[in-house]
Amino acid sequence: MSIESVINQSLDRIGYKRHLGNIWDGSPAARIALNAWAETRDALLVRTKPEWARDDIPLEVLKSAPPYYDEQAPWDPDLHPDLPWLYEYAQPDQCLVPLALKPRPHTLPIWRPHAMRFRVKTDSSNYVLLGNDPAPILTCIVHTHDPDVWYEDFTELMIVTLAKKFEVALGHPTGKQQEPKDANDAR
Amino acid sequence: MNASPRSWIAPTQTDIAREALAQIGTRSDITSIADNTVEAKYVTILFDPIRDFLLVDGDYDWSTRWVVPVAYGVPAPPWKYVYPYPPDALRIRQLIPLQFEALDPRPVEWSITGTDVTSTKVVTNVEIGYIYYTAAVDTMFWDAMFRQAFVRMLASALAFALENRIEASKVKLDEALGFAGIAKLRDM
Repeated sequence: MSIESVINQSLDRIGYKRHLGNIWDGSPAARIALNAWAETRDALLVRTKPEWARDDIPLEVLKSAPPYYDEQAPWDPDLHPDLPWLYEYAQPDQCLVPLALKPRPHTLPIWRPHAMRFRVKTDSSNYVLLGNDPAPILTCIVHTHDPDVWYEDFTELMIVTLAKKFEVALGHPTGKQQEPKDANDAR
Repeated sequence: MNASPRSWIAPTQTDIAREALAQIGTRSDITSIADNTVEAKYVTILFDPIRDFLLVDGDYDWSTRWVVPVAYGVPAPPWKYVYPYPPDALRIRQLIPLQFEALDPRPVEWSITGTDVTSTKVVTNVEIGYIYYTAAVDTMFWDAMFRQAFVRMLASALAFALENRIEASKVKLDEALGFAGIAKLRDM
């Protein structure tokens, strides 16, 4: 399934008869779709957190806590993570929503798995993660751009959500809105 | 064999003007839009502006053209790149960035500006690979529904210009807008 076929199904949903040939074709519907596509897709991935969009990514340590600190060796926010965390990691580019941290396994199976605390922080311009493991693995929802990878229920959700945006932007009432409000309107 | 894909229906400007004259019931006819009759004179005045209006309004696929632009000069802030406005463009539809991810399309912001008295320019913040725009294409490429909308709008203007028939002009204008509304939704 292509991006255009998802969008065209959304247009069908509101009864708009002109289909897109390409999202870049500059037609009124294409301009609206281009504005809404990436944001809508990512918002739905964040909201639904589908299994097929999950991935495990090893994290890279950016900052680590000093062995100790006192008045002579103070905690330096440029060098050290926020207190009381031991490590600061870069959030991977492909990560959309961090879900959990886990240690890298030395032996398998892991008989006593335990949750690892972590927190997301906004650095000056990037998201970073704070945690206490020297080399953890992040489980997260990753950017999944290819509609061919999506499960059918997510595709359908995308179609419905885009249709709502088209309905407002293209001024096309849905079938429900076209129904008469009362008996007088029906005559 | 004629190379034109629409040779069987390809109308000329004169054909379309005759159709508009027939729509308002006038008995006069023209042999060409340059035949020096009053009808031809008004058709010449009215034809291009009405065509351009309807094309801009409809964004029809068959009136799309594209150009590979070359950036030049330095635009005023907040823009980073400036490109010449395509000389035959009636309206810019879309700028396509030089680099983009096919599965992650992102909108491009742009504006039209005149930085001097002689030319119009397209300004944007990303490097552009293509400009898609609406052009005043020849009548042979018009589809049947657009042609009917155009004929009625031209008829509306001619009814007023030639015979001062205000009511007939209004009726034809309403018809034209109705046809144009259908034509732009049925395009493709």
